[in-house]
Amino acid sequence: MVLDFYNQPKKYYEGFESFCYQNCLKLILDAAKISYAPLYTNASLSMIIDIKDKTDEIVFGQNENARTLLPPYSDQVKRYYYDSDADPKEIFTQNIRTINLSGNPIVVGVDVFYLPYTPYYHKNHAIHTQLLCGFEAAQECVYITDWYEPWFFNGTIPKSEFLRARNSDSPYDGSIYSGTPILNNWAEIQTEGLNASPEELLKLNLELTLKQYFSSDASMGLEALKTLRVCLSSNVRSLAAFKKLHDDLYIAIKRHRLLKQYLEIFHEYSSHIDVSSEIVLLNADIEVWDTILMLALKASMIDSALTRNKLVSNLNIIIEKETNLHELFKQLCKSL
Amino acid sequence: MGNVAEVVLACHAEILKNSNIDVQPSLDNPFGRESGIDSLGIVNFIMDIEEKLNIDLDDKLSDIRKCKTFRELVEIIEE
Repeated sequence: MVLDFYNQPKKYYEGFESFCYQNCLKLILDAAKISYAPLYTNASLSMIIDIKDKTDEIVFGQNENARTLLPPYSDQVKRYYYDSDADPKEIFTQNIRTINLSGNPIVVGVDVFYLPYTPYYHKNHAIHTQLLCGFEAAQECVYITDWYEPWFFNGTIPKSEFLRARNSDSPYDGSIYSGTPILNNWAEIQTEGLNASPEELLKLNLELTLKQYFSSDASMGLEALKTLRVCLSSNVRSLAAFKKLHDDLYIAIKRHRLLKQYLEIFHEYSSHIDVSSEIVLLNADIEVWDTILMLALKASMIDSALTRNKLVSNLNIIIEKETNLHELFKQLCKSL
Repeated sequence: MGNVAEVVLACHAEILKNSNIDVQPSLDNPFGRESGIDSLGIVNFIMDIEEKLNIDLDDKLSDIRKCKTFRELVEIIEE
C-alpha cells in the first residue's frame, strides 16, 4: 500500500541542499496544501563559534531548532529517537501503521550508505532524511520519496536495506555528515493552524536572524567572525585545523544559501515588499564565503602564509558586507 | 605564460583520470562537476596548475569559480 502523496508532483529548491530534514517538512506541508509552505522553514542565519582559550580549538554550532520549522510552529513537529538496541523491525511496523492511519508520510532518518539510488551506496556514510510513503509486503519493498538533489528519487528500495539504513551507526569515514548514529529516528508533523501571511513568516526569520547572528554576543554570528579573524591571524597554524575549519564553515555557510533561497521564495509570494537588495547583498556575501572555503581547503593542504593571509583578508570583506546586511535586515524588519 | 592552455589541459586530463570520468580533455568542456571539478576537486586542480606554472591564483579564485569552460579559465590565468 502506498500513500497518495507518493504520486503527487514535488518541488525542490536548491537552497535546501544540506537541509534534507527541512526539505522533507516542506514537502509534507506542500502536500497538505498549506499556503506559503516553504516560508514556515526556519531559514534564519545561525552560527555559534566557540574558540577554546587554552587549546585554540574552534567549535562550530547552530542555535536550537535551527533545522526545523520557525519557533512558533516547531512544536508541531514531533521527532522520536530510540535506544541503539531497539528492534528496527518493530519500529518499522509502527511507522507503517502511523502513515496508514494518518494518510500522511513521515520523515525517517537513514544512512545514505544503504540507499541504492545514491552515489554513496556502499561507499560513504552520512546521516540523511527521506519520506516513508508505504510498504509492499509481497515484494518486501518500501516506498520512498527522497526528493533531494542530485538524485530526486521517488521509488522503492528493499526492506532489508531500508532497515539497515534506519538502524545504522553511520560511523565516521571522513565524509562531512558521517559519524552520527541514526537510531531509527523519525518525525511527524501536525499541519493544523498554519495560516500565517508571507510577511509574518519573513518577519519571524528576520527577528531570529537579528537575535542570533547579529547579536552583541561574542560567540555568535558577525561578532564571532571578528574573533575568528583574530584567531586565524595569530593562532591557527596546523593543516588539520584548517581542514576542520573548512568542514565546519562548509556546513555553517549553507544557512546563508538557505536564507537567500527563502528571500527568493518570498519574492515570488509577496508583491509589495521588495527584498531584491537583500538578495543581491547576500549573494555577493556567499561568493566571498565560497572563496574563503577554497582558501581554507588550500590552507589544509599546504603551509602557505600567503594563503592564510588571503583567508583573513577575505574574512574582512565578509565582516564589512555582513555589517551592511545587518542594517538592511533591520530596516526590512521594521517595514514588515 | 604561453603554455597555459597546455598546462590546463594536462591538469584537466589528470583530474578526469583520477575521477574515473571517460571524457576527452578539451578547453571547451564545462568547468564543473561533470569534469571532476567539485568543491575538493577545484582546489586540487588549481594547486596543480599553480605548481606547474609557478604562479599563485589566490586572488583569482572568485573569478575562477565562475568559469563555465576550461577556456575561460585559461583566459583568467593569462590576464
